[in-house]
Amino acid sequence: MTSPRSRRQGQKKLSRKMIALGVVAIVITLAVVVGWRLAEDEPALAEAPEADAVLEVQQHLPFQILIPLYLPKGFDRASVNITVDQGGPNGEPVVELAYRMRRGQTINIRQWVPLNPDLETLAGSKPIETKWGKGWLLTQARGVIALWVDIGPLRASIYSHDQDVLTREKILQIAETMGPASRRQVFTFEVPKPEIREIPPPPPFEPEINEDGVQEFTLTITPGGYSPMRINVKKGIPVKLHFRALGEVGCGNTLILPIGGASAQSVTLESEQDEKIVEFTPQQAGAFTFFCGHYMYRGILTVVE
Amino acid sequence: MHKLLLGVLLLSAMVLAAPVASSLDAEPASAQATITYNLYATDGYVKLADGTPLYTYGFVGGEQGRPLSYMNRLGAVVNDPGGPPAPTGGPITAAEAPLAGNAQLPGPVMWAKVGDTVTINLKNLGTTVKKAPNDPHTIHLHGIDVDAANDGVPETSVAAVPANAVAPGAGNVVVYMFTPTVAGTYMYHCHQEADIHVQMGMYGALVVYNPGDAAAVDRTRGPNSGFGGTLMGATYAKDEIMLLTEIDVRQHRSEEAGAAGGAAFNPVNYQPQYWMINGLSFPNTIHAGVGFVWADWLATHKGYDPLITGSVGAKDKVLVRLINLGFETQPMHVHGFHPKVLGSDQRAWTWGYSPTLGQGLEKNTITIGSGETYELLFDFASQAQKSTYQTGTQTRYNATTGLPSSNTTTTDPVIPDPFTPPNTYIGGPTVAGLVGGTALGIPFQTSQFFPFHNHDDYKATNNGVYPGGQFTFVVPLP
Repeated sequence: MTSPRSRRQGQKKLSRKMIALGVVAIVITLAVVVGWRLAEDEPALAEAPEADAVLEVQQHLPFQILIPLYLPKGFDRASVNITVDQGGPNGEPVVELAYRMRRGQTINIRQWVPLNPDLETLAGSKPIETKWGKGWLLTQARGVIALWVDIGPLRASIYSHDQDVLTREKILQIAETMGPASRRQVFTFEVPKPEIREIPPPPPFEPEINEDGVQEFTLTITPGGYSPMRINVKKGIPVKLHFRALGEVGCGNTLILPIGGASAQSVTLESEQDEKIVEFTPQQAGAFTFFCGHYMYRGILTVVE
Repeated sequence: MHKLLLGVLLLSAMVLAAPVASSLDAEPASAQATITYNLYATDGYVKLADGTPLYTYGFVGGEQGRPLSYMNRLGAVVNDPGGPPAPTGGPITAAEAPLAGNAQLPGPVMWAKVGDTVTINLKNLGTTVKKAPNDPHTIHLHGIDVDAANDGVPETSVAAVPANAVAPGAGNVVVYMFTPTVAGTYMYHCHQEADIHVQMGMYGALVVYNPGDAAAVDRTRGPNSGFGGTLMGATYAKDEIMLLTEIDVRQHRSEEAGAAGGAAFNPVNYQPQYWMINGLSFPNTIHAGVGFVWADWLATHKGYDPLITGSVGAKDKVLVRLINLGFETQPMHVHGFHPKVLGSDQRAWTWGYSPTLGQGLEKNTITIGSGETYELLFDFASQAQKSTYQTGTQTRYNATTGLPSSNTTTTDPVIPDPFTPPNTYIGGPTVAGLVGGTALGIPFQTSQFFPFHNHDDYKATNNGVYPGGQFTFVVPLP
């Protein structure tokens, strides 16, 4: 008969074994799971299935072939049929991508670089706004649907004889998601529309009155002009203007201020490091133009009440 | 427990099998295709059957990517293995320049099958003759029922402005895209000043096949390639195009001289002197003629052979696609056969071909107006391959050609007695020898040449010289 102590020790041994087994099991499981996950790990950015085929064709062409990011459901990208027609020695090479569905429905994308895009028109098409600008859409009662769109210099004709497969919304979506075939490429045709906005000029600079009761500020002349270009000073309060130059300003080294008494004040900087101080008290309200020696650089000093 | 395991196994099997099943099938034979034609409108010269040179307008070009063979204005064959260049908008490019001034008569055959997407790129290269008017041109797809803006009528849609002109938009390329939905025989022609341009030669045949047709299996086949299909319920072994037109040389000379206004030829005075099938007048229609090289003409006008042949032994049914692109109504009469009229203007005629309800509509003289088409089915099993001729001094034959000759030609031998060997006969003496010889391309011993001609018989002349004009043969072969 075993003593309680030995029994406890046995149990401890057993439990240790179990613990050991458990640890081993966990380790094995972890190893298997990690190995499985590593093996299945796909690259974070997947290439389009047809990218390699397109790139191979593209190396013989003078333009970049674009493929759509969006295709309606059911189209197998990997089986895309790429044909190149050489139009002629002076003609444009045309590449045609034909994506097929299982039952034979096709979406074709024909691409070429027209030499005179305005002179090649799709008869019976109407203009339609796309992300790339104006496109031309052809829809017929029974038959072909086609969209011509110019992506930079490249013209793409997206068409299908089957309007159920390629509806108007889908054809627009295909056109607007056209891009380079591979992530290894730069998109050469993206032309962002420039945004032209009226920007109001910055408000005039108003120097603060320091503890001496003087409006003190620095006027810098740069090749781009005076900084600040517009200054508001108060009448009757003395002004102390530090004049400096920054960069090659030529005749801008000479500053002519036509205020401060009966005659204009004028200072000239000897070098880029030089600083000249102009002091005056404006007595007359109004706007006065200050300028450089040849009246090329100009600014406005406004004396307010 | 076991059921669960079985269920899991089944489920996993299905999941594994699914990707295999959804892989793409092999491309079906009737897969929809895209066909592109590059056509150029220009002017040119052709020679009529009696050697008269004729100034024409027309189209030249063909299918993109397929070898192009055309006849230039001097009658020489020009081969372009790369195919016609794709038109480039703007002035005439170096690739397009050789085509200018070489319009074909008739324009190239265009063909597709139902469901294909057809694209036609048209560029106008302008006229090369200085005095001739340099007009815009279009392509009207006659019978296709596209919408008006695509229809090729310049007044309601867009026209191609000559590339050699100084005008806004000169050298523009007009792209027509359509999907044929009905199989049949169509035509295309220019619709700019149609009263002049159609007469001047700006026309051609357009054929649409059903998706399963043997003639449409690949782009090397097509009309008149020896392959058949089905149309309007009938099955045919091969098809032929017969495109009827006429020529009034005064219209052509007026355009060539650039006469405008009052001095120009008034189309209401139209009275042709020449009549043509597929641009040929007899004897060119049967591959013969002085100074006419049939092989060259056929190589440059693929699909337009007007000589109709069929095998009696194989019980061939031959589909003849009759098109009228002239300005006169023509009664076309065929000897020896009553072809069934399957349909007209790309639509089947009710009772046109109904084996269960009787004979359908059979005509041996069919009157076809300008712009109409008729689908005629010739059953070669209905006619024998050989004729039988009387023996005796009342029947003679030409020993060289084997053709029968008049019984007043006493220098020719008499058709011999059937009982004297080595003559063989079927129901009577037959004319021995190679009838027709190889000059007509018919190497078989036959004696049946059935005229298929315009029954306004003055139109079977070349400016009054008989036989000529719209006159060809139907030849049953063994």
